[in-house]
Amino acid sequence: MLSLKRVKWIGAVLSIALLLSACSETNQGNSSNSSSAEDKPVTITVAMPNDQYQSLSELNERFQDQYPNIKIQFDAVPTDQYETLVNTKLASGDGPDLFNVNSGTKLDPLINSNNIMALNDESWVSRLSPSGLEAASRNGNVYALPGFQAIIGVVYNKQIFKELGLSIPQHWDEFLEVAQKIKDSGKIPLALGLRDAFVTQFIPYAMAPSAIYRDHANFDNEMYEGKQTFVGSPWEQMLADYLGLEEKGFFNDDVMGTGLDSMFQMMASGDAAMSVIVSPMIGAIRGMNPEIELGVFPLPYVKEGETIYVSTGTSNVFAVNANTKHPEAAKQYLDFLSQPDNMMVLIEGSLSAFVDVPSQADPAIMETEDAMKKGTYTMLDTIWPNTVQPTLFTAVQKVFTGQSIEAALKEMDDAFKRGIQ
Amino acid sequence: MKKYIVPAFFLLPALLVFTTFIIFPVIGSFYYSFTNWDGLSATPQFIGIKNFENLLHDETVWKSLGVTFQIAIILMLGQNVLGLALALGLQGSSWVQKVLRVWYMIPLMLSYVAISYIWNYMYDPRNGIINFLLRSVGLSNLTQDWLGNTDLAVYSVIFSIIWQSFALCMLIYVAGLQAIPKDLYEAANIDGAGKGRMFVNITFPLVAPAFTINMVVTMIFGLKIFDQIFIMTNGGPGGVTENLAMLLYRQAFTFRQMGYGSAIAIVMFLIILVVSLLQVIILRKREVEH
Repeated sequence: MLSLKRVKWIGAVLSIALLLSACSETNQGNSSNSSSAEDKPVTITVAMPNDQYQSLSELNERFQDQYPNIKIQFDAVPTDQYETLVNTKLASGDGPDLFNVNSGTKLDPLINSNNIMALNDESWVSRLSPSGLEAASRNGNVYALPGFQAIIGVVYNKQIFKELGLSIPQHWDEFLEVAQKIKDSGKIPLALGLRDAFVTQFIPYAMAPSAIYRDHANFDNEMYEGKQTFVGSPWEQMLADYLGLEEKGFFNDDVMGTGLDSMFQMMASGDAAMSVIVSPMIGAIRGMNPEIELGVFPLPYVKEGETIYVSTGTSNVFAVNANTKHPEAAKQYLDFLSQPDNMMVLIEGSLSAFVDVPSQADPAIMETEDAMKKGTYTMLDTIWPNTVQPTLFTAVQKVFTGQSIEAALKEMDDAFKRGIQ
Repeated sequence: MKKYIVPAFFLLPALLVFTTFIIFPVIGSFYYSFTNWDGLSATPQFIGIKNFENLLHDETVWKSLGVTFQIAIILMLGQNVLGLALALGLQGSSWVQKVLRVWYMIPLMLSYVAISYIWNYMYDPRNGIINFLLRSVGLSNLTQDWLGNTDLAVYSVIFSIIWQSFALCMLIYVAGLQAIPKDLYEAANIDGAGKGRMFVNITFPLVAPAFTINMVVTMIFGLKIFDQIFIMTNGGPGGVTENLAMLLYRQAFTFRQMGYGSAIAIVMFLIILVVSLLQVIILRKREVEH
């Protein structure tokens, strides 16, 4: 029989043992040499936010069939925890071999902390479209495998346009006329929901290529050199026109309290005729109403006769951890994904970033193909220092609630200066 | 001393977990507040008190300080007034009162993240049930953009938080009220005191211990509110609901300024410490007198 004293001792020892085993973490699978990685069985860790590139699980199966000696440990992380999780792992030296990254300047923190490696010599680099190359590169080096290309455009309800006898507007005054006709018919011209802060950026990003970059491609470089600021630039007119749409009553009521979901619902139910959104979101609207007839046209923020430039951006799929113990296997994985058959599955329903991978995007998005050939500019957050985009969100919200445009642009200028320090 | 060795052993695991996951990170925050760490680099750079200097000159910090106190004070008052009022009504032992005490506790048992999302939907100006109900009874001129109107947004968020957590206050008050000897009320009744008099002269002074606990706890809770604001307005519209906790998150995770964010965290810690100490000292004095 156990005496009380013995029980106490056993209990104490067990609890300490339990604690210690929970604390320790064994790192397995790192014993193989990278020199003969193709022969020895290897496991590579891959991390992706769970709301993107959802066909990866299927592609991973295909990859493992093709390369039986490489096993993939795939981690589809909940989106809002993704960045924190990966950053923590990288900071502690335990980062995944491959992980999803953003484009443009958002790669800088990872490059500066030596967490991702350059992939310039990979065979798929030469097959990238200009937009894909731009998204994946920084300072002349390629750092990631690009995936799908998105555009910001005006999605519109074709049935409403037909009923009201409307045609696609080719310049800003026509756009305002179309909006007025829709308003007069009792429908909402443009669905907008600024409660979800990231929605604030869509219209400015859609305006900027035509308003600034078509004629002044060097604008951003000049900003970095301190020769240009948001204050005193076409941004003043852009924000005034953005607010002007609200003042003319072209948006739904209570824009500040409406969320992204409500925007989609207004489009899906036919209460709203148009909305400025990013192309992957069309799927969500169709999901709410499979019968709906949708089209997309670029926001015609131009004077009559001028060329419209489209806002576009390519998302990256994966970058390779600079400290990976299996660089060969990781690069083989990227090469596999870049093959046309696989890339088509990966970007299903979107525009491709590779010249030899045909785009099989939603037919509504394909309507903008011609416009995109005339001219595009990347989505602005990929070239700004990372302090500016969040400041744009609050700046637009403040302008819509009465603050002056000049003050809002000054905040963005201050954020820009802070970001380049 | 020998008889404390075995209990100490049993406490050791919990102490180790607490130290590892709470004390060490807090000390870590103190350290990082003197660096310009971005959350990714392996070695943070020491920059002395620069973060704290920037903090003092940062307009958004002062603005969020104001929002922090606005939210905390209204939350504290709202929860305590509602909690005490309901406790007075529900302190008895009839089955109705017992059932209602449990009933009001139900929001407390739900995940506050889930509750915040649901309030989001309720507050939606187009499809939300609040505006819908107002319209259907013909009061559509009272419909509001609950979370989008810069004047209303803070109060909408505060209301949902009070709805969820006032029951805890109420329970503590019920316990405090039940501890007041009944014969005091009888004596007062004989002397001809009305209900109001009895409350002011007997109930309120004698419920002071429960009052202290509730005021201090709700104030600390109110000063730190993050999750509900994050889900409902994310600091918007235009920053009117951004308190220090939200600002901290934005600086540390959105702007990647972990060092600056840590400095804000330290300032929050000091503010909460000072406010709580003051509250305890002042309220404790009341208890002793009575």
